[in-house]
Amino acid sequence: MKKLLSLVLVAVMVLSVALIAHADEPIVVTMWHTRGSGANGDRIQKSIDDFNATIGAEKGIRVEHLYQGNYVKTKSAIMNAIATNDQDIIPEIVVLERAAGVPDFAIEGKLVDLTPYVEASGIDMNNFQQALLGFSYYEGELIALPYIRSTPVFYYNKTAADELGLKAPETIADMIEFARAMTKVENGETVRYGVYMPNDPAWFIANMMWQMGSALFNDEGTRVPCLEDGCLLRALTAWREWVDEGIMAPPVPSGVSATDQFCTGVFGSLFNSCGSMANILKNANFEVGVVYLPYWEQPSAPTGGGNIALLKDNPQEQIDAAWEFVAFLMSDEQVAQEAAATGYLPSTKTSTETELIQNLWAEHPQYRVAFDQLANGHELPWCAFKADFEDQMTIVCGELIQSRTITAEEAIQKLNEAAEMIYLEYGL
Amino acid sequence: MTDKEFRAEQRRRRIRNYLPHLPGDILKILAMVIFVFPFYWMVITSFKTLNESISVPPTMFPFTFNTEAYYIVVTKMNWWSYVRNTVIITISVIVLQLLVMVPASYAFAKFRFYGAGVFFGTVLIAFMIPTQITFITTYLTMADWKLLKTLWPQIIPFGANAFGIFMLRQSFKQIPDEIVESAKLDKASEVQIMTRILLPMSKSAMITIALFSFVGHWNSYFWPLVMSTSEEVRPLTIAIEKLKEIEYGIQWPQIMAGNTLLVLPVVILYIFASKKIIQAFAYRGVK
Repeated sequence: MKKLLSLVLVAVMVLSVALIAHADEPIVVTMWHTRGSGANGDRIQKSIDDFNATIGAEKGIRVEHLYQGNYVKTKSAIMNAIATNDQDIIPEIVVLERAAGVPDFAIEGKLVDLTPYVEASGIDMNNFQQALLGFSYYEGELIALPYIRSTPVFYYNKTAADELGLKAPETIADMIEFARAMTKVENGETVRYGVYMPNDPAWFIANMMWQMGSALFNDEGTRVPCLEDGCLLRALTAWREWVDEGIMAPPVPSGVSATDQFCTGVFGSLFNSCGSMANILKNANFEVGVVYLPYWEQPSAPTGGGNIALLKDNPQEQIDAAWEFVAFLMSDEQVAQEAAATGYLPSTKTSTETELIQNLWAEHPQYRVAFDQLANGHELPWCAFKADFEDQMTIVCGELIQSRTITAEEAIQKLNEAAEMIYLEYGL
Repeated sequence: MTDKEFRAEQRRRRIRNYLPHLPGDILKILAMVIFVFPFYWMVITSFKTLNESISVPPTMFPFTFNTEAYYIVVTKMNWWSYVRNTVIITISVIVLQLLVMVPASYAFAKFRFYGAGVFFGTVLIAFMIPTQITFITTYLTMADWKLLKTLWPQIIPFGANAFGIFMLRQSFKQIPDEIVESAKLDKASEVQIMTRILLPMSKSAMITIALFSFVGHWNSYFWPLVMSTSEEVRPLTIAIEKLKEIEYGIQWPQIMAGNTLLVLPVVILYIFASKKIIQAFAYRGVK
């Protein structure tokens, strides 16, 4: 039955593409995304230009794109567009933050099931990195594909580490020793902090919970187990101790770039996204080392970034044409070019066998670290109150680490109160 | 007293007279530095290389003047299309506002009519409502009218400037009714009274309102971002925000070059119109 359905769909697609080819005007599909300028902006422009000049020209499809700001702004813009119920306004292709965007639209039934398209195009879902598929399926439907995905890694100033005879850390205990040795104080002022970790609980604290054998959210997405088993208290206490000791820099204010601080030597090492790799390798005036995230009891790494999806509220012909572009983006060649230009993870296994990626890894082994770390990749469960609780965590961690006005115990108390309120609000 | 002694005494007296003004002048210079420094920093950063722009300690003057950031901003971003949109939007809004504002303010200032208080109260309420609250309904209306791919959603909703109506009404009210009465006796039409008598006498207020409106719409970011679904109708502010690529790293020289080009017309206008703005507020203050 499924095969028959696929065949029918292929027939419909072929027919529609044939019709498209005969039409004078190409079908125009629009993509709304978060990729503004620099390597990111250049890359999306290049992909679209390449598609329009080849497959698009052949099949009578033209892709247009619109940068809509960061993930939050893009999500709002898409929600507004859907509210108009106007197919001229609703984009066909959207880039959504995988955990903070995809679920919202999937639950509302706004995303196209890509299963028949993937089958018809011969795309093997097993070829995708499994750690990147956490927010791709909803109620048995394939609703999004990994696109601009990243994972944080541990960057360090290798030149300084070599001078000090330091080895890159593997565990959190190693990291503390590494940071102590790397911290440089001159005339009572810290001129180089040993390590820096941003106030991004969804990534770094959530990951530390997995490393301790706990979790930020349980598998059902209904509770915050780490609040009850003491793991969150342990992580927050340690974080505060590192900052108090002066070996870890407190979170930088908004507008200050942590990568800039690392590249100019203010931070000796840094927890940061692999999406910043190209920028860091280009701008650091020292040799940059990249290793897996230091772990507590067991290695683990979170993933992040954006997935690509198609919106349902569009004519079938437009959705079919939009899929052609998505399929183009998922080709090994495109995935490899994307990863090489930006540092985002190559989301398919076969793309890493391309000459481009092999050469990149030979020349800059740092890129490979991020990819290999995916073997330890963890994904958050679908959780309705994720954004609400993470907002609370960011605020409380700010008080604990930045303004240092509360203790770790008080932070846990505040988070417990916030969690109780959230459970009530969500009827959990 | 010799000539030399006389001059020395004069100098001493000048210094004595100036001394009480010294703290005030120091404060003025300090205030000026506080206001000017961000502009200075923006301009010099735009001429630095990326490495110099993020170096610690920061340099107060570029090692070498690098104009690459300006070249990238202007050539790689379809810059002139964004400039065109910003200019069209800003000028259209100001013209439309003047067309609505002047008769409305004249009516509120010089006519007694049924419901005047309620109507003026409505204007004041509009003045107090943040635009962010109205954007969803406006967005849906504009979508319904099929205007989202045009510049109109960035112009029409600002046709009535509540702040401008309020301020211009106050300005018109300060003009004695006798002047308007005598013009009427000379058979001047309402349009003539507005354009030949009231407006010339409220020049400072008009320039101030127009300038505030100009700055507001020239720098507007949130509204155009929401109200445009096509790159062709987006203004400069959105182009500059595009330069801020967080994950790949912030290209400070490019962002600052874009900002310098964005604020340049505003600064030039302020320089020319500053006297009138001070007049407008000073006049209001005395009254």
